[in-house]
Amino acid sequence: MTDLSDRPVVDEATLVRRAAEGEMAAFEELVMRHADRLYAALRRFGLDDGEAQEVAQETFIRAWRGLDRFEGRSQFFTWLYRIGFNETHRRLGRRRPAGSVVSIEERTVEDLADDAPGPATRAEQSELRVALSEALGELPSDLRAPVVLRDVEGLSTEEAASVLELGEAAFKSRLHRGRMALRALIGQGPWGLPKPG
Amino acid sequence: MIGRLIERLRFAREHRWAQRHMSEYLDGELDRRGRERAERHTHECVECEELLASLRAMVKTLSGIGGEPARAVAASVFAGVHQRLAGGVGDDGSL
Repeated sequence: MTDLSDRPVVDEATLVRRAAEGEMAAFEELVMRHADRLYAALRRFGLDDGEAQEVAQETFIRAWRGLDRFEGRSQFFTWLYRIGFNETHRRLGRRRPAGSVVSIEERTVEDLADDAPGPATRAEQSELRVALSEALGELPSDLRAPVVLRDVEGLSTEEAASVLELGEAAFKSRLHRGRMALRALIGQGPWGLPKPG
Repeated sequence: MIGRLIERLRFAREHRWAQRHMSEYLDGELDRRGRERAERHTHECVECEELLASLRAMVKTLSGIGGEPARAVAASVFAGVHQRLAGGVGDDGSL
């Protein structure tokens, strides 16, 4: 593997162009920039550790082969998300009966509690974070994906709709249903969401 | 009497609309008219006020999950990609 630490920072469009021309070092840098984030998203889509690493590999292999078709209209990472999500969707469709729950977070409740030794509000935030992480894993994948992309990964509505190959109106509707379902799941927990005031 | 009935029907219509559009309001994706409509109803409806507050708290917390450091897998992912490409992986993933 190439030592990337001494290289000047190259903008992404240049890396993509060089990689499309067959330069493996440029592609390696793209992988190094995006693989961790892609892996985290794949876990949140519902894959376990091994599956997420396999799908991440598969995503980059497909990207390498399809780079000449990448038109640059979306961000490179959004394009990776789309490839990764499609592969995840196929795997989940083959794999799981409804209702099966996958833990989507590496960190345990104890780890998160350690982050919040201070005010009660921070402790509540940590509890809410843990509960939401678990509840996300209980959502059906068609409702989970919009919430993960928009709220967890921070994509815009346009980008997230593009990843899921939905129109914006359909995406917004699904996002709202996902949020409402998540809220309902949280509401069934021991403490529920904070009320205004 | 009729006036109260009309008011209740109006409230019910606005309530259904607000419940359907609360995410768009939260995301700043309603036009000015829609935004004002949502705010007007939320101001007079405790249930929608609570819904908005809880969605806001939930979305804020979800964004925090995304900000947590991801597990470092990039090097092993690239190693696997490189190995598979060098080995001539087929489109179906077979070697």
